[in-house]
Amino acid sequence: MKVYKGYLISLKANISTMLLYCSIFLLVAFSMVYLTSEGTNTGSYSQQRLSIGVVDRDRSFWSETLLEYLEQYHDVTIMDDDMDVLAEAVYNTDILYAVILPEDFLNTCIVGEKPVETLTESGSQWEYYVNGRIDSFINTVRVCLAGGYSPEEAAQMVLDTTKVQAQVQMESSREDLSVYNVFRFMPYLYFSILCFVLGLIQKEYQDIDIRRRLLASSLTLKSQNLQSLLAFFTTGALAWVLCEGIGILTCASEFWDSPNKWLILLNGFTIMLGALAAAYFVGSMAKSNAAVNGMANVLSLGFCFLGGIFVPLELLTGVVRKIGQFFPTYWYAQNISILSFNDTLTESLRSDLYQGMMIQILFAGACVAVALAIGKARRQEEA
Amino acid sequence: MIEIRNLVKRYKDTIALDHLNLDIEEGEIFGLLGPNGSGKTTVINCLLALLKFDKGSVRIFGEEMQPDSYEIKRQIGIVMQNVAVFNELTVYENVDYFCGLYVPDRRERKKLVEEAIAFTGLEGYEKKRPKKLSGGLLRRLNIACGIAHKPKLVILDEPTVAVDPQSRNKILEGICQMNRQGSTIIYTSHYMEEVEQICSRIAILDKGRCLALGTKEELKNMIKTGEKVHLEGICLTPPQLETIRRMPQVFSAVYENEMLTLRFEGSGSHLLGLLRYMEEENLTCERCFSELPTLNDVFLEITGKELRD
Repeated sequence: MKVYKGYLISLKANISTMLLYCSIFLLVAFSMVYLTSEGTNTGSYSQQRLSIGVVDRDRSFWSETLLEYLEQYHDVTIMDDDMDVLAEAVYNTDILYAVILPEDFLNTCIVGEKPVETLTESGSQWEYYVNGRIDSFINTVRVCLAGGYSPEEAAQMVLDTTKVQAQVQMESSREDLSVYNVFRFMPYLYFSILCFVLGLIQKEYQDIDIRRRLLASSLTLKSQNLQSLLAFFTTGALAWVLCEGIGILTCASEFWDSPNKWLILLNGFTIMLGALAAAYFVGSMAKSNAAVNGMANVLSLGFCFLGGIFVPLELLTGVVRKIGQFFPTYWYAQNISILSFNDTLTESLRSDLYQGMMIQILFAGACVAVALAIGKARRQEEA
Repeated sequence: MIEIRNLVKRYKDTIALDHLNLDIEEGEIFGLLGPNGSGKTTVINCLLALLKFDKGSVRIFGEEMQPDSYEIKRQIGIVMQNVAVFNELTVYENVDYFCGLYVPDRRERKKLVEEAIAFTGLEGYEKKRPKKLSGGLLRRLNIACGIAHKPKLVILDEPTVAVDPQSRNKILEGICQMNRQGSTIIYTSHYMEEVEQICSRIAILDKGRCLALGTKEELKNMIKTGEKVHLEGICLTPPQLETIRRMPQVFSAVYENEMLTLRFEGSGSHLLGLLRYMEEENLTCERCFSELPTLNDVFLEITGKELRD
């Protein structure tokens, strides 16, 4: 078992590098857990009041009812009817939203279909928010008037709707978020540790003189290959225990309370296989320590950025998401979201989960196959 | 011990070995001498079945050498031209690792590793990693890794390249000692002085062919050129120079700037006869020295070019 032990001794020599990456990971994980636990509203939504400017050209019963309606949600300021002043106030964010109520507001906007003129930052959250409020007001008034209510009754009913408040609560608890925030960064740890450490060791074994020395020895080629394979899996298993162990320690009770804890570990195992294969690829291709270092950094950071590890998948654009699907990290990130935010896994979620794991394993197989093919071509060239 | 017959190895259009025939006997230090690219390393790689050859056969210990001839490989130690050790392992771990490929028993291996470290003078460096070693020590570690399992046949492929003279001498002494302890040695080099110093038989290779084979004396006797005598600060008249040129066995005489260079044919020393003539003619010189032919002269005469080209 000399080849196997050789790998492990080399691994021991790189323990400081492994610890360094673990420390970086712990720092990031703790920061994320701390940041997401700050504040008290992480589990529910609260209403926000915005500053709104209103120009009332109508000064009718209905324009004043709308003003009263909006005042219940927002801080309303009556503005002069000067578009330049309004634009400047929006530009300087003195107000976030300006509403211009036209003369004959009832017939123009409530009975008629003309939209209310507004001025705000296009595409902003508050544009959608206040537009929604005004549309809601107009629609409710239309329904009430069409239903035969008098204008006064209709106005009262609209104003009464503001008293209805919905309590929105996130289905998942805060604890789940800490599991998500810790375990979602695992691929970076796996790819960094394994590509860097195993890449360096594998690179030495790929050196032509060392390979020839090994081939000239009395140890059979089959035995050498099997021992190398075993050493790779042992290293991978150690990395898995170390990384998942750190993850569990970081969010201990939350992890054990999760009904999906074993699947989280299994998902970690499949991404570890992907990282192991990437390490084999790096070690087989790189010809110097600097090259191993460079390739390990490019792979670990590239995979993690494009695969939605550092940036949540929801924030990735369409093209990046499509590119990300080629990387195992994407499927890991998708799986960890499923496992963190769903206490009960439906058949469809389970199917997505296992598909993600299979793709990670396929990536590992493809990576090893490419490395073996290139290695074989190189050896044929040498001979 | 080793029989190489009609060995042919081609790299695309280049013929690296051209119908090479060699016989190496047990107990000898066999030198493979040749310039860079002459095919020395290719012979070694074919010998160890690390390279597929196009034609011919290699037999070691009476058996055909194949990539899976593990029993034969067990009795061979190889020291590569480039240092082939693991940078992540210490000196001791490296020697132990390569010895472990041949000797599975840990206790026996421990003894062998310690002996190899002592033999190569690496005591005190056991815990150091290769990066911390000097070039000479690194070469010695390379040798220790190749010989720790005490093989019957040791193949050393240019083990002294880029080594300082002190380390080189230690390495050469060690090789002779290994040979005295019973190992057969195959030593490749393009340093003729080294080969001349330690090898009992020498094969001169060029362009994949064996140009000459024999002991160093046999090789030197193969060529026409013998002793070379230099006389500096000598004043000769044309008749005196002509007399010297007509002396027996003088192959050539060049007289320039009061310096006479004489080349003699065949073996033996001719300096005394020359000095006697100078005494008779009352001739004096400032400096006088004689050089016997070297393997470089042999190579020069056989190939028409210097060995170091």
